[in-house]
Amino acid sequence: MMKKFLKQLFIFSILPIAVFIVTSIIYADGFIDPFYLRFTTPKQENLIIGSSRAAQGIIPSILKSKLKKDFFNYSFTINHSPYGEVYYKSIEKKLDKNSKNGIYIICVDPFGITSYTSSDGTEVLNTEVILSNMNFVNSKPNFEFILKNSISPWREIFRKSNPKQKVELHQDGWLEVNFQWNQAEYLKKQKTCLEEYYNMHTKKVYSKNRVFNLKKIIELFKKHGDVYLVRLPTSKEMYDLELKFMPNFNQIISGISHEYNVKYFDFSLDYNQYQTTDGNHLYFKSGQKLTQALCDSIAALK
Amino acid sequence: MLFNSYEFAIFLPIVFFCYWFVFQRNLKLQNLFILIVSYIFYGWWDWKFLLLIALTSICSWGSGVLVQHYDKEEPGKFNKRKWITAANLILNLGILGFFKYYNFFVINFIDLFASMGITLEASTLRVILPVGISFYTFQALSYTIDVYRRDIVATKDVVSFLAYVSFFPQLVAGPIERATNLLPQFYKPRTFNYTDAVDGGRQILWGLFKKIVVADNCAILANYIFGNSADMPGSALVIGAICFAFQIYGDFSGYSDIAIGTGRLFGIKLMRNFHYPYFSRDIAEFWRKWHISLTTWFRDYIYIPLGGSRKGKWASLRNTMIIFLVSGLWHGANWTFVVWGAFHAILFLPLLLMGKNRRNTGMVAQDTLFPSFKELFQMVLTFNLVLVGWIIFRANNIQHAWSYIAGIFDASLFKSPMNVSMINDNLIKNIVFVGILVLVEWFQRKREHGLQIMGIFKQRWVRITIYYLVIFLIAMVGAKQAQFIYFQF
Repeated sequence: MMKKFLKQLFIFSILPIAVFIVTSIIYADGFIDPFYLRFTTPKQENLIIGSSRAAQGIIPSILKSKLKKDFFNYSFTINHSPYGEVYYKSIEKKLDKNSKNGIYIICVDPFGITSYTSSDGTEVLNTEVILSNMNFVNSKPNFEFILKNSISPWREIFRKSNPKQKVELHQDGWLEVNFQWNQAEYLKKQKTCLEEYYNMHTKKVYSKNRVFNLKKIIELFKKHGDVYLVRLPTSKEMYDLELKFMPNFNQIISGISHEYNVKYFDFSLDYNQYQTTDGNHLYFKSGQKLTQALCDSIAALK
Repeated sequence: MLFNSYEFAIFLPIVFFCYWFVFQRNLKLQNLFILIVSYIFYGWWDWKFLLLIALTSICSWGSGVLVQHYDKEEPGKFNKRKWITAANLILNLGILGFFKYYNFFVINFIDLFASMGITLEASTLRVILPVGISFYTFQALSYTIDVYRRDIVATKDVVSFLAYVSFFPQLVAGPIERATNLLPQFYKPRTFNYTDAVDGGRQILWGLFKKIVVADNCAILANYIFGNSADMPGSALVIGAICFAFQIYGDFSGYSDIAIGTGRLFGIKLMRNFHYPYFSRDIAEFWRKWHISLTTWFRDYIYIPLGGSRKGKWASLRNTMIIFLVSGLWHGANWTFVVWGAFHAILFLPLLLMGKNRRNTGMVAQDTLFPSFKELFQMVLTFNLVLVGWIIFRANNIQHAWSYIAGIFDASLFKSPMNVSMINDNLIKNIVFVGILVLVEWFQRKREHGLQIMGIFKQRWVRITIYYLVIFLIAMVGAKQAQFIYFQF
């Protein structure tokens, strides 16, 4: 009886499992979510890391055309990838240890070196979702990601571009958010975003642990090439909020820059030159402009 | 670990394989295995709370052994059986009370004294509610009381007892098992029953459909409408209430189906928890069909010991009121639950007074395909009353419940709800999913679950096509994975 049960269950399961595997292989792409493809590429020699500002604002293909190297954007969001042990370990898995003359762009902002605290005042660390539960970050298709991070319902696997707002994660890790920019929509989004960050600024505190891990990442990258610290521009309102939140942020980063002898490019005061989608993320056209400027800055040092 | 998670999809086959192929020959080892995997299942959420379930279990087991030990002692001034049982009840209810109700009572005492002009200084604690504490505590209490009443002989087999309290399919959200039903199943070897296992598999599939397709989709609208009820027209508020009614039914009965089906895969029969409650013709029938394991628990351990209906009508009314209020409070530390219990008591008491609380004990439309007009009217009326109860249950507080209900009886009741974009986007699909659920359960109302189709479709390929169709619906139209509502109770 057991034999019959197992045999029938096995035969019955073949079809759903086969459909799951085949659809995963064919359809899992840069439209299903803003993270999946980051875990499907091989180990990388040149990396861009940071939060969603970096994910949208630094475009690897432009860096490649100027600096003649294949770049990969391994940035997530402020909640998924603040600097910490979790991000450090994930970067270790993504980094090609054979790399010799790599270029590593580390995007920094005040919120990336802060933590929430629990009621007893201790820091809440290592709870970053997705990165903390991914053991395999270089496999295609990545069934671990699909299963653990719940492509649910399964129809999400067939999701394609939205004609009104294209959100596509490219093979090189750039998250393209492409839509027709308009002032009214921008102001609405900026208000929401500022409220969210204001709320965050009341709950988060500067974290020595995160700075320690940022330094570890710099040390790791320095073994394999040149490291650049970059602060991306935001809107003036967001800049003011960050200034209020952490007035000595630039001093902290400049200190690290001197300590490790790495260059720090601070674009934060150029807020008038770049357009954002919500006060926080660069509009894709401004992302192109910023990446060009970053290329020029790096090339000037070479 | 959630039933609708990938972890469980891996966990279940491994446990099934080891249970039948590695440990089947040794009952003690098999029970120990059940215990270990049940603790892993529970500890997946937070291992620290395993200590609590172990404490509850060991104290209840120990008290049972002691009560049995003093069984033949002559009743004297100091009745040891009674005191040991009382001590264990106080311990278990104390743990439950602390984790579930501490802050609630502190805040309400402060408010009460403040209303009398007395300021009290008291601090609340950040108490995390352990998942399923109400379920396993009640299961342990059932054993303690049954041993005291001599309805069951206390077991010396600690592993079987711990496995009984923590049996993973029903550990966190029931059905709340009785020691008299579940514990003896751990004493004797289980044999694999093909028919039962296959039907258990079907029941799991149907439970997943109810949870992922019906409940989780209804949750989108219910959460949105309840969250923005002040800005909603009356028509939208009605939709929100109906969506919540099917969310909580799909969620909770879906969980029970998965639990019962999983139990059947392991040769263990768990009690039925739902019997198509939305086809009830009055509130009394609804309570015989909704969360049966809790209702009968209150009946057996509170209502009957209080005298039940043996001590006259007024005592019966008082006892009924008590169990409804306690049932409300069991759900959580919020006045909404207490008022919800009181509301149902108010609906129930007239039936009790008129002696009509047991008039609808048979199945609706017993020998016909469709209900009569009278039955249909009764079902619709009962459902509407239940709906009002669900509004109270789901609301954030009493004021919210009141404003929600008042908002329905407003001229905006006749305004189109489709102007609300969230409703416009989700209403049709919710009607389709709820429609499928209601139709399937109506035609299956004589059977244990919606997918029990062995006797209906003789050809195997038809049945298999239906199973694939259900899997397809779960995969393609199910909503994002959400936690089961009753975990918080």
